[in-house]
Amino acid sequence: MAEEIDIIALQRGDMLAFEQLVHQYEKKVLNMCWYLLHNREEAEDATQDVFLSIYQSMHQFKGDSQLSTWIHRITLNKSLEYLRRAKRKKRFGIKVPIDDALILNKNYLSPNPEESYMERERTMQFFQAVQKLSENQRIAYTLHHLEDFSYKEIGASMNLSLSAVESLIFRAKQQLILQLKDPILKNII
Amino acid sequence: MEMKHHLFNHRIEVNASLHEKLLKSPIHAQKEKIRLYTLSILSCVILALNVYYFMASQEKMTENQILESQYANFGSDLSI
Repeated sequence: MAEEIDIIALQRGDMLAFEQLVHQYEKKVLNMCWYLLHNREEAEDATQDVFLSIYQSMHQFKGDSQLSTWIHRITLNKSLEYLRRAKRKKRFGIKVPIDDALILNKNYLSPNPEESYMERERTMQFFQAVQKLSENQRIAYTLHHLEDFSYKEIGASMNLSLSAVESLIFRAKQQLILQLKDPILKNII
Repeated sequence: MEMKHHLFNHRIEVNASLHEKLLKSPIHAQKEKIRLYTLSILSCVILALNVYYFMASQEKMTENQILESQYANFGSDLSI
């Protein structure tokens, strides 16, 4: 269970409280950025920006929502900034590649090279299809399927109603089914 | 509990260098604040200098305009 973070100490600028916050949230923030940006380098830069923003705007945290929701919202906003920057880069012909580590899933290592290759292709196809989703669909789908957020948590992080989140995820799945040709992938999503 | 497909079950670890950078966020925030203050002060100084030079040139222009006008020699031909 996560330790309780002393918000008042954080707002005072207490370094120990900030260290505790980093320990508790760094992995979550990094993975959220990674899944949204599909690139480790970009995700690491975004994570640094997230923690800088948290430190700079800690005094603005009123406690209306949970600290985790507030951090997720900052992470989403930063990731969106990076996504838009990547889109601009793409317009100028600079493409941010899908991270190799994302494709080479360590949780699935097959002794059969052909099977490994197929799996790699499948993963690549999946993340390429996710990249083609609209911004909101991509975020909602990623948070739900890859980050295990509940609809309620997604709604709180994206400032959307429960029904709007449901509809976004439903439409994202429809889009993915249309885009993906692999029947195995179609079954998974 | 439903078993999650490995495609959705993939995590990366925070490496030591990133962890160090994250812990240094307060120092970066401080540096950024100082940079922002310095920039604001510099902008104010530049603005003040611009206004000063503008006013000085306006004053000079008015003076020159008077010197070039029909009033330039006003009173010079008057004798007591």
